[in-house]
Amino acid sequence: MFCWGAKAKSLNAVGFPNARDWNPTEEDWKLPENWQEIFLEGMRERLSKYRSFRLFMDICVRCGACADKCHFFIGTGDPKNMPVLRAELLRSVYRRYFTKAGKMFGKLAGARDLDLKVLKELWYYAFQCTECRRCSVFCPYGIDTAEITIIVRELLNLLGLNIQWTMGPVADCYMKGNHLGIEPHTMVNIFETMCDDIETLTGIKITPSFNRKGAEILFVTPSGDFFADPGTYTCMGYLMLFHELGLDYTWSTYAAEGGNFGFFTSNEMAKRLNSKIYAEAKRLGVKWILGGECGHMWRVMNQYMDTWNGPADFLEVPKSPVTGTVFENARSTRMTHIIEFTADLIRHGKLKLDPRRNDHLKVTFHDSCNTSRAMGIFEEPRYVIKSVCNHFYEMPDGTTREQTFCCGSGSGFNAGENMELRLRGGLPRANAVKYVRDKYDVNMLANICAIDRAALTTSMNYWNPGMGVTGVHELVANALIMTGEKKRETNMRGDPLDMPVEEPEAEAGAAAPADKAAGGKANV
Amino acid sequence: MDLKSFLLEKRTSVLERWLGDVLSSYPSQTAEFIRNRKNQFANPVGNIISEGISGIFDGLLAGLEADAQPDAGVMADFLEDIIKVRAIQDFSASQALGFIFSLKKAVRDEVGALGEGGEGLHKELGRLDGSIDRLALAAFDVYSQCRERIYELKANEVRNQTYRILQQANLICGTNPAETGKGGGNGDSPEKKIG
Ligand code: SF4
Ligand code: SF4
Repeated sequence: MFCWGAKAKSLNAVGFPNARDWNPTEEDWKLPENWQEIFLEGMRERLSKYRSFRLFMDICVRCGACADKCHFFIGTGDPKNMPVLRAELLRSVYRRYFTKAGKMFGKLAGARDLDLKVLKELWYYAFQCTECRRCSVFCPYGIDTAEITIIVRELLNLLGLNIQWTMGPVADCYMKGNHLGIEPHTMVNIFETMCDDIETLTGIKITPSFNRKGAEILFVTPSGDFFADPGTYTCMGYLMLFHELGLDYTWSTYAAEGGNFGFFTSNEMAKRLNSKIYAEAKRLGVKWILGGECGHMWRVMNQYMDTWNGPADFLEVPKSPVTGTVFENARSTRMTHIIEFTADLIRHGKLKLDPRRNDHLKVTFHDSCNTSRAMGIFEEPRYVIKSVCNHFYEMPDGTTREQTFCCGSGSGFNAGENMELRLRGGLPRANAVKYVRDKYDVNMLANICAIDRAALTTSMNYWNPGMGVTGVHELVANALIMTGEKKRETNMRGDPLDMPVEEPEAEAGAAAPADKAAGGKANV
Repeated sequence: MDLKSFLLEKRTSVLERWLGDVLSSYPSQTAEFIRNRKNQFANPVGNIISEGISGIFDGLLAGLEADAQPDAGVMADFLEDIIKVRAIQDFSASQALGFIFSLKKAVRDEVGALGEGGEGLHKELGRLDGSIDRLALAAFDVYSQCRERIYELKANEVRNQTYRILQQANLICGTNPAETGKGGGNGDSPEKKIG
């Protein structure tokens, strides 16, 4: 059970080494002759570059606290998916070539030669780790097996051994600006279609701007939000919210991808893709960047961006033009998460909301690995959901917040060919969802990550058929009372609203909409 | 004592034997975890299997009443829960479903432990075996439904994930073969393990 190997043309597009077409089912992986040397040299380089890596290789005491915490171990039952044993695959090679005991005593010291079998095993299990970091929460030494997987993938990458599901989007993002290689005119067409849908729903015509110089804010979201249902409803939610606020913002067809699959290949590639967003912010002369609902995009921003490309001091510290709140936490990256932005709007009473429009939904919330464990965003999405929905239920302790279970498909292997593997990894999450479904009739699983929206839809279709999946801003859009809107007959998905028919104004719960910001939006 | 009363009395022990047999299909470290970690959220597989086999066992016992037919409806949910898990794990069809037949062995071992005293019960075993066989047939249906579902998911996902682009048909210009669901492979099944 694995994904197809990366193709030469995708590797070549970004100048990755040892590009070739190869097939994991074949005996011969067409490796370069000196592959061991390349691998070990790469390891040596990283051991001296990343102190954490050397530490993680050295300090594990095999206490086993992490062993049963990985969703892939829980779902597959394969002991090599215990984080401690996953790391051991590389640690044994480390011992053999980089420690005295391993060099002298070999197997006795838990060391292994780096042969073809070991290499294939490393590859196989590096792509059964979604780099979710759940195990690290339980390790008394703070060993982060995700970081080890990241290094293993980097080393494999030196040998051209990536997977196409990751490399295709990397190449497309690098060449065209987004994961599917959508060209600018197509992207604009897709937005026009979404705006038509919004007009049908609300009677309001929205004309967003693209690549507009001088806008105050650049908005960047994962492209999954505009090419994949149900992400598209969330994307329409952003469009409606920004229109209602009169926000002076622009989309970009160049920085059209918040997701960063480069992060699943190497730090260097992640840095290159991340820099596009900042190059575009500079070119357009915006003041700051607002980012959509995404998972790993935020891990990259919060944990790595500053080291790679920061500080972004040509931008201003993000400040909400509606409430005046300054997002101090984004002082260095100058990029703010939309859930913080929206929570702040609601806190200041800047949105008119009618939560009854979500009364057909009983909602639970899935904490995405990245926004929770890499950022600590726990309260904002819950606050927003509770402000726009009347029925919210938490999943059980041990499955939420920093202990949340991965969707099972993160870190770039949301492919079709490894579907069973994804469903195995998705079981612990789905099992907790089933619990709230059975107990409270929950019928909607909210989240703030584009990969979740795609992956959980599939996982729920298998494990909990009938369970919907939604982004939080779709729920916001359902509840949002827009100035001059016609009476809503349906929710964002076109389903009839299950609520008493009244004029929305009479029920308006909050303050008047904010003043419209300066106009002058240019369409491409 | 009739078979039903006997099995009711020995319920815990039979279920232990049966569980042991189901778990023998997993590596020992895993089996230990599945058996001993009691939290249903930390150990969903263990919970689903234990609850499932108990539910099925009770359903079968109810079916041993003089005129009763085993209530397939009650057992179907438990059966489905277990098979859904086994259908996506690394098992062939026969391995995934073999656990149903191992109940026969668990019951026989328990009856056998009575020695000669258990002879009367042996006569009743045929009826239980018949119910287990019917259950196994139902399990094949569930299993194939699960597998079909997986293929549907594979097909639908590609379509759903590119919905807006399909709306704009012929305008896409990408270099990513992943969107067709297949990258560098040559058509072999990716389900084979490498080695
Ligand atoms: S990072 Fe997540 S997927 Fe990887 S070993 Fe740890 S728990 Fe498992
Ligand atoms: S919890 Fe930490 S120290 Fe213990 S086995 Fe896991 S990685 Fe090693």
